[in-house]
Formats: sequence, C-alpha cells, structure tokens
Amino acid sequence: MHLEPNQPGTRTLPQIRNFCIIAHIDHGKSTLADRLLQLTRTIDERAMRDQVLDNMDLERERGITIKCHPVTMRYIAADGIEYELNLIDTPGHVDFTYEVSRSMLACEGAVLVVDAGQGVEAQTVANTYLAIDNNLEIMPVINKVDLPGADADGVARQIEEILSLPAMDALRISAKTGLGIEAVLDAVVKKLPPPATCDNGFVRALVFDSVYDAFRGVVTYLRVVDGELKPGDRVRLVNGGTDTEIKEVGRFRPKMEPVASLKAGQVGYLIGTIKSASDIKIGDTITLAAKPTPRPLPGLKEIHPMVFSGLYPVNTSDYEKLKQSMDKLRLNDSAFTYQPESSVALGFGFRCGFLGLLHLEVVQERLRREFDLDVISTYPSVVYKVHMKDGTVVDVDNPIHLPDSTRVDHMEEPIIKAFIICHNEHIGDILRLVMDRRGTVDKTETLDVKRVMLTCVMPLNEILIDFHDFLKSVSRGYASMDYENTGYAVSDLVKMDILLNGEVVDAFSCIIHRDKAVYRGRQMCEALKDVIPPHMFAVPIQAAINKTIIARETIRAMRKDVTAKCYGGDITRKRKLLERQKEGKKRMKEIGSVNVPQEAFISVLKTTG
Amino acid sequence: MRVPANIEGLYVHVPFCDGKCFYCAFYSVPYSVGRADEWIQAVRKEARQLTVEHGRIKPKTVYFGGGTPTLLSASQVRALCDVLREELFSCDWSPEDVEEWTIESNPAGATSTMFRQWREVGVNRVSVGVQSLRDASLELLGRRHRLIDIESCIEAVHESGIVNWGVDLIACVPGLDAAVWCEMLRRVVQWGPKHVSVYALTAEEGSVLLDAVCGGGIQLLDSEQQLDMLILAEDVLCAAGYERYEISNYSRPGFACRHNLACWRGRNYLGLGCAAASRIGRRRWTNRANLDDYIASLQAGTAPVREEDRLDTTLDAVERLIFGLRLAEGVDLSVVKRESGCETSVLESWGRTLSRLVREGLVEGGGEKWRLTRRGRELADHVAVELMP
Repeated sequence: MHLEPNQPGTRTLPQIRNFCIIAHIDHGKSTLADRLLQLTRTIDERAMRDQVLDNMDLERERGITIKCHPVTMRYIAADGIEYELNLIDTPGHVDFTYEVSRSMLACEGAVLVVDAGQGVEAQTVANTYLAIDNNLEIMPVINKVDLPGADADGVARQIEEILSLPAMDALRISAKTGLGIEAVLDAVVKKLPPPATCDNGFVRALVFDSVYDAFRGVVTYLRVVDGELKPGDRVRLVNGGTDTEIKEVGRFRPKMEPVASLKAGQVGYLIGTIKSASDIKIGDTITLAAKPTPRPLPGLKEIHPMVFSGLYPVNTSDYEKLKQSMDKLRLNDSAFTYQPESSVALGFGFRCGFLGLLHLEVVQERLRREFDLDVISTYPSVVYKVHMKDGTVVDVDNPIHLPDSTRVDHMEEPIIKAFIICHNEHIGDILRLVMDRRGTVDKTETLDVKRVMLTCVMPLNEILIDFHDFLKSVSRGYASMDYENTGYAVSDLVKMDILLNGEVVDAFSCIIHRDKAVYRGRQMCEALKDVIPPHMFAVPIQAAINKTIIARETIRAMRKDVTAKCYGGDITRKRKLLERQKEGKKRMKEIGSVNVPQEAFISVLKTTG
Repeated sequence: MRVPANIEGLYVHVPFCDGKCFYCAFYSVPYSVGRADEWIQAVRKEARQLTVEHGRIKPKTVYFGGGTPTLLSASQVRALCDVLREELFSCDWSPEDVEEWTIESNPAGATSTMFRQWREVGVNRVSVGVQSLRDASLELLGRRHRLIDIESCIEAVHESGIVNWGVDLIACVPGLDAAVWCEMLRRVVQWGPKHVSVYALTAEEGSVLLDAVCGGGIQLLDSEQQLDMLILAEDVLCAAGYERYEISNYSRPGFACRHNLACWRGRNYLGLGCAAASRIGRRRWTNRANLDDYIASLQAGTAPVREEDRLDTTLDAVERLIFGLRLAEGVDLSVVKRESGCETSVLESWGRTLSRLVREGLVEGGGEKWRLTRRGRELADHVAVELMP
C-alpha cells in the first residue's frame, strides 16, 4: 500500500510490517507460513496442524489456498526491537488472482518463494507481475535447498533473468526443516518497507475481505491506514454508504482476539451491526461517520467473472436449497456471482459467474460437501461481445441468449496472455497444442538448460474445457501455466447446438469458433453416445449450426433387456435388481423422451482426443 | 388350533454336488454319505418347526432342487421322504395328493434304477440338467458330464416310466454359432421332452465364470447376439409344438411346471434346507446358504438363520404384476388387486404406464388383462422397471 506522497503529517510506522507470501503451487508457501507462526510462537507447537492457514477442508485436500487469512505475529529482531508482522496469506492458483490482489492491497511487501528444485514456474511469474502492479517490494526466497536436485544458484539466475529481480543474495532456506527461517523474519524487517500513515485527524481503513460467521455475523477484515478504530465508534463505509457501530475490533492470532483498538498500520477485524456481507465491498474505505475523510483510499477495481455456467440441482426439488446454499457460499466468496435462470432441459437453476474453471470446480465441490447438494453444470462460457448491425454491443455469457445471427454484425471474444513453462523436449507438442487452440506464441525465453517459458496469446474459451489436462498430458505433468486477461478480439464465432432425438438440449449449447465446430461437435456426439443408455427407440445425437447438421451419432434402440432365468427362490433377488435399475433411471434427467444420466453433462466437458 | 395357510408348494434344496459348474452361483457342498445323513436329520427338525408354525400341509407340488438331489443314495431318498411324511405332510396325505413332484437330475451317473426308486416314493417329474449337447461347451461350462451321459440318462428316464420329463439348456455359450445351436435344439426336440427351459448364460455374482469374464478369459455374447440365440430357440421350439409359457420356459400343452408357475403367481410355498426360499402371504424368507450353520442351528433347537423380507401391499402387487407379465397367460389386474390387497391408486398409476407401453408395442391387452408382446418379452426387464413405483 502506497500513500499519496507529499501529504502533510505523513510518517512511517517503523515497528510494523505488512506482507504476503507469493509462490507457485507446492513451492512451500504454506509450510513457510507455518514455520513463521511457530518461530514467533504465534501458535502453540502442539496445536500446530500442518498448514494452519488453509482452514477449508477443500484447501487442505487440494493443497491450494483459496481464501486469504491474515495473522499477526510478534517478533523481536536482531536489533532487539519487537516488531509486529502481519502476514496476509494469498491463494496460489491462477483463478484466484482477484483474491491475491486484494491481499496485496493491505501489504507493503511480498516474500516470493521459489522452489530450488523446480525453479521459476508459471504462477511465480504471474504472481510476481501482480505484486509489481501493486507496487509491492518483493523479496525472493529460495526454498527446499535441502532436497537433492536443488540448484539455488540456477534458480537465483532465473529470478534475475525472467523476473528482473535481484536474487543472487536471496535467502536460501528449507521451510520443511526450519533452515534459515529466522533469517526470513529478519529480512522481512530489514528489506520490506514499513507502512506509512498520515496524522491529519481523519480515520481511514481499507476493507480487504469479509466473511460471514454463523455466530458473530459479518466479520470485516481491514487494514487501518490513518487514525484508530475502537468499539463504540460509529463508522461509515464510504462507497457502500452504510453506517455501523463498532461492537468489536481485534487481531488474528491466528484466531480472532479482541483488542481495545486498532491503530494505524495494523491489520485486524471489525464486527459491527452489519447484517449482510453484501453490504461490504472489498476495497472500500472505512472512516468515522462523524468526520468522514475527504480522500477515500483508491480501493480495488471491481472484478468481473470470466467464466459462466448454469448450475442446476440434480433433484429439481432442491432448487430452494441450492439458492440458500449459494447465498451462504457467496458470503465468503464475493467473486462468485449467480442469478436465476431456467433451462428447457434442466428446469430451474442459476447462471453463475466464476473467476475461472478451477473456481467453478471449487464452488461445485463446496456445494456438494458443505451443503450436500448434487448439481449439474452446463457447458461453460466466457463473455462475448456481440456487435449488432444496429451498432449496439451486447454482452453474452450464455449461448441461449445469443441474438439471431441475421442481426449480428460481428462478435468479439476475450483473449488472454498465457505463460507456459515447460521442458525443452516438449516445446513442439506444446506449440502444436497452443496453435490447435487458436493461439500464437509471442515469445520464447530460456529459463535454464532444461526449460523455457512461452508467452502466448490465446482466446480464453479455448482453455475453458480441457486445456490444462492436455497441457499436463503432453508435458508428462511438468508444464505449468498461468494467464492474465488482455482484452477482446474479433472472431468468427458460431453457436453450436446439440440435438437429442431431434430436440435442442440447451444445456449443451456452446459458442465456438467456426473452424472448431465440426471437430468439437463430433467429439460431443461421441461422448454422449457413450454415456446415454439405449432407449426403446433409436436416439439420434446431432450437432448443428443454424439448424445445419454438422455431426451425427445414433444410439441404437435397445433390443434386449430381459433376464432369461428366474426361479421361484430368485424373486426377491430379482426384484431387488430391478429396483436398483429403477433407482438408476430415477437419477437421470428426462430431456424430451430421452433419459440423460448426470455423467453426460460432465463427459461433454471432458472429451479427449 | 391354527387355520393352516393354503400352502401349495414345497421346495427342498438338496445342497450337494459332485463339483461346481463354472456358471453356477447356487449353494452346494461336496457330497458325502455322512454329511447327507446329518442334513436329513436337520431337515427333519426344520420340518417340525415349520409344522408348529404353519400346521401340516398337503402340497399340490413338490420340487427337489439343488445342488444335485440325485446324488442321494436310495436309503437317503427314502429317509428324506419319511421326514416329509412324518413331520410335515398331513396325516391323511398320500402320494396321489401331489399333482407334480419334480426332481432335478444330473445326466452323469443317472440310472433307470435310481429313477424307479424316486418314482416309488412319489416323484412323477424329472428335470435333466442337460445344458448343452456339445462336449466342448460342457467343458467350458465346467460340467462333469458329456453328450454320451445325457443320452444314457434320457434312456434311463424313459425306462423308469416317468413320462413328464424336461431338460434345461443354456443358450449363448461362447463359441457356439447359430447353426450348431439350432441343430442342438432340433435334436432335443427329437428326444421328446415335455418341458424345455432355455436360460441365457450369465456371469452370476460368486461364480467362477464371473471371474473369468472379469479377467478377460471368457467373453460373453453381447446382448444382440444373445437375443438372436433366444429368438432361435423360440422359433425352433414353437415350430415343434412347444408353448413358451414363461420367458425362459417352454412346454408341451398341459406340461408347464406347476410348481414354478405357482411361485410366479405369488402362491404360498415352503422351502426346506439351507438356501431354500419360502413365501407365506406377504412374508418371505430365505435360509442362509451355509450347511454348517444350518445343521448347527437346528441341532441347537433354533430356527435356521434367514433373510426375511416383508412386502407391503403395493410391493406385493408390483411383484405379482411384473412376474405375472413374464407368463404367457399374462396378468389380471383384478386378481392382482384381490390377492395383494393393494390400493386402487396403485392400479391407476399402472394404467398410464401400461397404455404407454402398449403404444410402444411392448404390452398388449386392456382393461384388467395384460400381457407382454413378443417384443415386450425381449424387453421384459425394461417393462418391469417402468412399472415399478
């Protein structure tokens, strides 16, 4: 966080450091965080679970951090002075750039962790650029130096060459064994800048997150910039326009711990009388209602979901439950958006916006685990800009809403810049993959003797479905990738429909580049043929553009379904078998006269070949 | 004194075999004289228990299945029948009261003497486990008999004077083409059985065949090929004057297996022996398939361990409908309602489904009487699933 310069009364707060840790997945970010907490005795050794900061089941399981969790540590540095270190954890994955940004908003510096064996990876690059964009001081740390195959010098060179950060004197540590951790804390104090504040009589605090706690209501995470906040203060959310009375302020140690006041430079939480998390806007400025600041903080540009998909309850009677679950889920996932929609095939559901495909998967998985809901997701879509012949431009995130082609002049699709890091021997396959996905490679940089980084420009819709899977498979799991959005480009796009038994199934419709339609249509028809069971009649599966059939498969009619053996003693067993068959049938979606199993909705997304 | 339930059938499961066929998932253990004697003693105790519960019975049909009932020695045969007469049958019972008394027989080792001994105690029907006329197929199925055994067995049946006899055939054995199957059926017809059961080879849970199929050692026919074989059987047998009275059962007019018909019609029957199933009213149970446990619990004076199943009126009605539909005679819904005591709403919900199934060409009839069409017989499970609640 950098304040406007030349404000009278500006001073630094030398005993506070606010920082985050950024890294590629598995490079040891969470382990380092755990070590810092242990070393500063912020948490009890015995209470230490691995990776304390990842407290969602899903995060622990997948080893990814989705939500950021701040924590305040006290540390007596080599100079004998006690410092207050606020670590604001960040998610590691590409889809959660927004979460990373909001964490960075509250920091002055970032510790960049790079694996000494793996070197610079795609998320290292993307996260570093993000930190630079946010004006953070970056301190590289080379982790896992104890492992065989560690090449700290080589990795330092990569950091210097690829990221243009001085790194030859970067700390070399092992978060796992604890080697060099103390030095990290000292370096945080020495190398990362302290926060600055302005004593002009106004109070300003930055909101960087909020969560909903079932017992305490809305908990707002904030960083105080100027002045002080304490219980009893009436405060105002400048952009939201809401006023609230502070009931409690506190620090994260790492559990919430109430304090008498939060002072300039400090990171903590606030509980007020705010009922709904939607009243809290991330990036908003909190000020005193009685004496509002004339200069709100710059905040965070609003994030727009990049990927859209319809989510429908498998069980149509679960619609209300799904709605309530999404309401709750959104309380601590403000990047997730949804609004009601209906589908001819699937009934009532929601059009949902996600930051990326992983975000979609995470939401779906959380609905299943935390709310015991099975949902079907429709073919994901990006937001297309449709230029109409009358000159207007319409945003379309759902193929169903694509205007009739006769009224459309042209369309634009979102483009990304992707960083792909891979082994030299896989370059050929990856170039082919990128080209196959309508991409171009703008730049190829050598990282070390084994690896290169490709900077590519690609349409976002080409990486929506299975790009990551392909990338992993052609590189035997070694390639890593991250991306950033770069804008829109004109493209020859068409809407492709899938017809079952002659009827369009809206849930399968997608917007696709014209050159890809036949291939993709064929893939989808084949995938559906494999998962839809035979019916009493032959079921044609067709892919069509503007009612022109471009691909076709047929599920042959069921000819035999009879057990040619049934003894008297068998009746119970036989009936139970039939009951199971019936249960299976009930779990299918009846679309027109065709029973479609749930797997069908997944299989069209996971086609390979 | 309790009013005895109208128990029409008696099934005795003889759990002994001289080996295990690869496709078989029925319960059996190797035969020994001692084990069989112990088993008969246990059956006596079970029969006594059943009499206490249900009174003495005068069944119209008796069925000795297995296992291999014909492995029992002549004296064991007599002992088993003594048990039934002394413990279970009405005091005024005589063999003439049994309309149909079937025994399952393996071709191997069957003699006319043996059949005569059975006949003396009252048996009047024999079901021969022929399965195939081709030695290679018999080998593949893990059968321990060959064509030559089948031929001498059938001769023995003829010599014993038992007129009502039938054969079991397994269709869809891998490696058997349509022409050979057809030829096999014609040959069976020439022998003149009154009854032919045609079962499609399936890999049952717990059979050696399932392991072989899962392991890739044996590939079963796909459902299209299976259907072709089953259609061929129907064509040959019906052309020869057999009636397909149930999906997998054919008989000369008047020679349908009454015992099995009664089961499918939802009548009451008692089962004796481990792994035997019984049905009284809407209560049904199956003895646990373990000979040691069976003998032990009866020696201890307790009832053998059973899996119990109690049907509600709706489920009873559903069963009567779906198993009744497998019969050529079809189903009379008013009878189903009367016998199950189900709500009228159950019949109403079927009405809609049945009319759809008629439109789809799977069911024919109307009002109260319904039956499967030829196409419906090929898709009987589908029809059943559609009619389930």
